[in-house]
Amino acid sequence: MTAPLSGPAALLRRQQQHDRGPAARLLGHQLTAMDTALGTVEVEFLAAPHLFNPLGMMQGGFTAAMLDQAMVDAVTALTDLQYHVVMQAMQCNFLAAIGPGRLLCRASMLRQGRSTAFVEARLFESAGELAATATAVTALQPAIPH
Amino acid sequence: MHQMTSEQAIARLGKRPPVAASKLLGSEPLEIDAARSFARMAFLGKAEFCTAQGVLHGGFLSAMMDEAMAIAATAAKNFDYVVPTLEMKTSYLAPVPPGRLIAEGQVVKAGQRVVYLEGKLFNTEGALAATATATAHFRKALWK
Repeated sequence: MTAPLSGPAALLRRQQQHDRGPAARLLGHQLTAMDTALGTVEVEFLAAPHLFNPLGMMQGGFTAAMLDQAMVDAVTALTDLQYHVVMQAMQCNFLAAIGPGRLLCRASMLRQGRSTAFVEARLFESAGELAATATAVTALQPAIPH
Repeated sequence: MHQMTSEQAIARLGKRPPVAASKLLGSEPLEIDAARSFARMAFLGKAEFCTAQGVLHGGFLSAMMDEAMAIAATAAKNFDYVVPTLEMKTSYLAPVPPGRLIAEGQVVKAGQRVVYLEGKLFNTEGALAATATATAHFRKALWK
């Protein structure tokens, strides 16, 4: 048994343990960092062959799925699991093709209202190049007890 | 040019190399109307595509509409091109439980290099559950 964590480390641990379901696992999802002051989270994904198009690059839809997941993560984490966060609408720009490898996604909550939150995300491919961006509107619903 | 029937178009599509992303989504073409630049596809909304709440992850619905839109775009050009998406906007109208879903893709306008697209996703009951618009560009396919 390790000593209980406190402060930001405990906060991050709690967010990491939050069950996101099988879809996130299929994307190789891992929440690696959060900064409540900046309103930002960092999430890693795995671009793997089962997500690829005929060009051997990630199908845009799965890139969108990763951006979607990271933006929901950002709002969920930065509101401290108080809400069940539902994606309402998102817009993605696909800047560069994404080959196999570990991807970093940085998502920021821009504004939290009473029942909605605005969020944006940037996805970097394994060499660190900016590969996709997104903005979205999410709905904040009362959380299911966990 | 003589227009392909839907059966011919589906057969033509089947000659392309297997696509991992399509296989994962359980993609199955139902109707491809090259003249109208329209595609109707069935997809499998699998349990593994769900969130912790047991409904399909929105991103996977995006992936399904993305594919239906791409098929509609390639059908407009005799399947000689692939169509990487440049940008896509998705609206999630309602939560979608797992099951067999239908996605439609429609070309709004195809230029020389850029194509504008619309997508729709229907739940297992046939109700409209998500919509998309996208901009993609034509790239010569690496196969014949």
